[in-house]
Amino acid sequence: MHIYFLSLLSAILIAASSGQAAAVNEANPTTSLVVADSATTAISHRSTLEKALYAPGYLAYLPFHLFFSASKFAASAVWEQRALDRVKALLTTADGRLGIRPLSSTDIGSGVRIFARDLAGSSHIGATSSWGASQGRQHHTLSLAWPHQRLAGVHGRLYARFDREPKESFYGIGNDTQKSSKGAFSNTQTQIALEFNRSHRHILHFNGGLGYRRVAIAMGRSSSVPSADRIHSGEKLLGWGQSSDFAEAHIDARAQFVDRPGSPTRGYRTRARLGYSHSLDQAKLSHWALRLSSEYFFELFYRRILSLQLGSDWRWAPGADRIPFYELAYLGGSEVLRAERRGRFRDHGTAYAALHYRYPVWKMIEGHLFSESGRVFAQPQDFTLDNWHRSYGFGLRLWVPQGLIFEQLIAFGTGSPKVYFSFKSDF
Amino acid sequence: MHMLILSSLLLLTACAPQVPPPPTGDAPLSSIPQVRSTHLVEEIVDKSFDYQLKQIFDLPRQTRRLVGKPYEALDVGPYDEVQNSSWFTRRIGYETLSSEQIRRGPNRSTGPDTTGPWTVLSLKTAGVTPGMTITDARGDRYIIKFDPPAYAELASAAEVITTRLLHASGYNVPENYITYLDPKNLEPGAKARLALTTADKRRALTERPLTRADLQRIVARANPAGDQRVRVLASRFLPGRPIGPWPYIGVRDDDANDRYAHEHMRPLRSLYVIASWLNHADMKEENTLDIFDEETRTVRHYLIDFGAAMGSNSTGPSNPRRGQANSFDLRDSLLRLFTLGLYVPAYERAEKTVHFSSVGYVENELFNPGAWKPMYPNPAFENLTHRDAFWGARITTAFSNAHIHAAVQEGRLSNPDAAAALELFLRQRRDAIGRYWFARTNPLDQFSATRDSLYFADLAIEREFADAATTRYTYSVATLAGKEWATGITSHPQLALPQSGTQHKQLVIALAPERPHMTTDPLRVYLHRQDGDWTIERISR
Repeated sequence: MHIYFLSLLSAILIAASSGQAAAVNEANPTTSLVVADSATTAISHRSTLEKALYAPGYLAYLPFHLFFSASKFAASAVWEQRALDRVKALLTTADGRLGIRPLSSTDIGSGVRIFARDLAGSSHIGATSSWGASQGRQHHTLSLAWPHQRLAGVHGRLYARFDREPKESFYGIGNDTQKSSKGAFSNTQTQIALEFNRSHRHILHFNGGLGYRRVAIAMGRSSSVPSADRIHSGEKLLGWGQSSDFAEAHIDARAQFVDRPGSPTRGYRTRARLGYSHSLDQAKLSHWALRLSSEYFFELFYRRILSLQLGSDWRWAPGADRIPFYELAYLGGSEVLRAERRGRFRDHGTAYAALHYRYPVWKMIEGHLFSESGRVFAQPQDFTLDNWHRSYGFGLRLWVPQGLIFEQLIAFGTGSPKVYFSFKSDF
Repeated sequence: MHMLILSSLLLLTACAPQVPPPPTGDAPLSSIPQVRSTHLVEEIVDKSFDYQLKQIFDLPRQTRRLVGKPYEALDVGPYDEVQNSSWFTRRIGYETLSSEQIRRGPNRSTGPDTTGPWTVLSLKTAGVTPGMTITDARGDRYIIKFDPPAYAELASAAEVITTRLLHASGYNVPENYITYLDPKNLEPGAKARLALTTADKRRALTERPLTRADLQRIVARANPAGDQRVRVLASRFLPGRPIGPWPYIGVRDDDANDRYAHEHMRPLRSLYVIASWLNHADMKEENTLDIFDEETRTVRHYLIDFGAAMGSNSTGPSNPRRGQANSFDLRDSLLRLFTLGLYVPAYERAEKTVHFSSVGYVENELFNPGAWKPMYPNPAFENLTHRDAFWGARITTAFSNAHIHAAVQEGRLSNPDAAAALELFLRQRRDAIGRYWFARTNPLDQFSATRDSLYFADLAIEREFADAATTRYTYSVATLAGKEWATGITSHPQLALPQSGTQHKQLVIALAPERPHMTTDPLRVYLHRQDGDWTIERISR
């Protein structure tokens, strides 16, 4: 390599010695005023030798140049030519009442959202459909919303949903389930609900709803079928292979006292949700669900933020009813214990804590480190700080002050790393 | 083998291109150059990433930097000076400017005629501040810009003061005036249109003729206090045909007079020093303009739009980050990313203190003349050498306190304390520039030779950045062939030269000042004797 480089250099040096002399002779100062030709002869800052030595580096740089030229074109298309606005305009009728939008995230897969505003009075009809290309997921929602002025400050929404998750995993019930006990099932849910929302100064949000839900659980694509034998707690696997109907009600209260919804530096947000699902058939699967979570934000120094998140999720059944396995509280997935698959640990209750550290990288791009810990319990008395499962990871997030967040994360735990990509509203 | 490679590389750096001396004037062009446009985002990607990578792969450039022989500016003459050109006119530092000349700047009149109506030709859509294009009763055309409503006087004062200082420095700038608009005098022009946007303000659906009510609304938004006369900045249209911004890399292909790559032009490289003085970080191509003069058929190159200079950010006060980091600062971003945020640059730790809303953020604790950064990497600035920096520092430090006072007075700041704070800001930065660059470059200048002596000035002492009592000058006098004739040390800026009758016809004098804790490389003065008198042939810094 050195010999090659040296011989090349020597050859160039020899060639350049004559070239340089020629350059000296050609240097012809032109200072008189003449009518200038339109073709510019720019004066180079390099000698002939330097021009020759510059060439290999330039060739190596060319692929990068092409990449940056393409990036420049893309950036220009987005910002200068307003390509996104143009696409948005293309996907929306001229009056802005009817439109379609693409969707994509690790949780929902890829799909589209269709919306129609002001079709019946000042209502807002929205339809969201997404299909996960690789896993055969389906999520469809048709909603009819109307402005809050109609109902004494309450915003109402009537919606129908259809969700199909063909590759849900079941590892058993309890905190010590093994990966080898994994079985697969498909979960198909159909829901109709009426929901009411009220907000107070973007700080307090209340939500309540009534509805009907049908759940159908069947064997998944995998041939591995979970059986009662493998269940850690020894309980019968309730709900397997069944369709169940529920009448449901819930209330949800959220409060956030933070300075910047997209990237809080101080304050806290807290949420409580209580729901009741009443079994409409003979299966006696009525149950309650209570979810609590709080997150506190502390500014360590210069917009380096530490936040502590604590949460718990509990399910219990009234009287002789029992909770179907798919309605049990769980850990794993995109929200808590991200290194594990969704539903990795299931039981009557969960408790978890997460520590997040966010730091600025550039303007609204932040680095994000997190460490999560959680475990499931059969009953509140079992609570202990032993045997908590851990997950940690890092990623980048792009936020806007209004609270919209684009996040790309990678999480590590006992198994293979999991990658998450999401575009969501923070609260 | 390594020695061989090293010597080859050293040889490479010794091969300087043969550059003709700068032309004394521009030749008339046979055709009108095309209108050039620029896009900010493209420019940022270009300068922040593409150009940076290109430089990494530029072996000759890297070698030169390694051995301390970077590419010098191409448009300099034998005395390391630039000629007057369509880019630059020798003003301060070359001639004595009065305060009155600083005050007047490029202005040729008193600004728009405020006694008659102003006809609005169009509304200003580019840039961050609202504005409009008008013609006054005299038929002169101006761009009118408003101050941000919460920061009266801020942007207009910054624009006018910077205009005066850049003009005195030698650059071409537009005539900028602070004037007062009577909203009742505004009239919509016959062809003026108002674009109507969708509710989300993203798409222009249609246009309609501009009305007087529209104009009153626009003025009311910019003037929430409802003043009868609204302070505005009036920027007079430049005479000639605008042909778009000029690039900071390369040349305009369709201007045959544009022969030196702009990144290798002394006035543009040295603009770094002057821009750092004024904290004018907004040095984007969009803020430059080429004007084709149809009479002379040549192109004149202007700097425009200085509302985001000094303590102003156009829409509000500046902040500690401005001038300390590029808008997208790759180094800082990567450092923050990989140190998990433990790297906290000084500008992040600094408090944004604004004592006077009309002058904005005018703190200098973080100012380092050698580490100042514009909004994004500027190729001309990145090629700055010590010789260029000396040239820029010589201009900057030529501004006296009286000059600065005169320029700041033109900002018509209603609060004298605010004006004093701004003057202090400029004086402190000027002095920091002088101390910094004159300690790194040889500050000897203004050479003249007589029959028996060589005289020079030490700018560091003249401008009070160094003490004459502790300064000595080492010198060596040699023949062109290298034969040493005399060496010594003197404490006076004067050297005795060989008397006539001696055989020496050509001499090279190497000169360097010596001060405590400061040494600079010697510069060389090449002398030639003709008819008994010594004349300076060239100066090599």
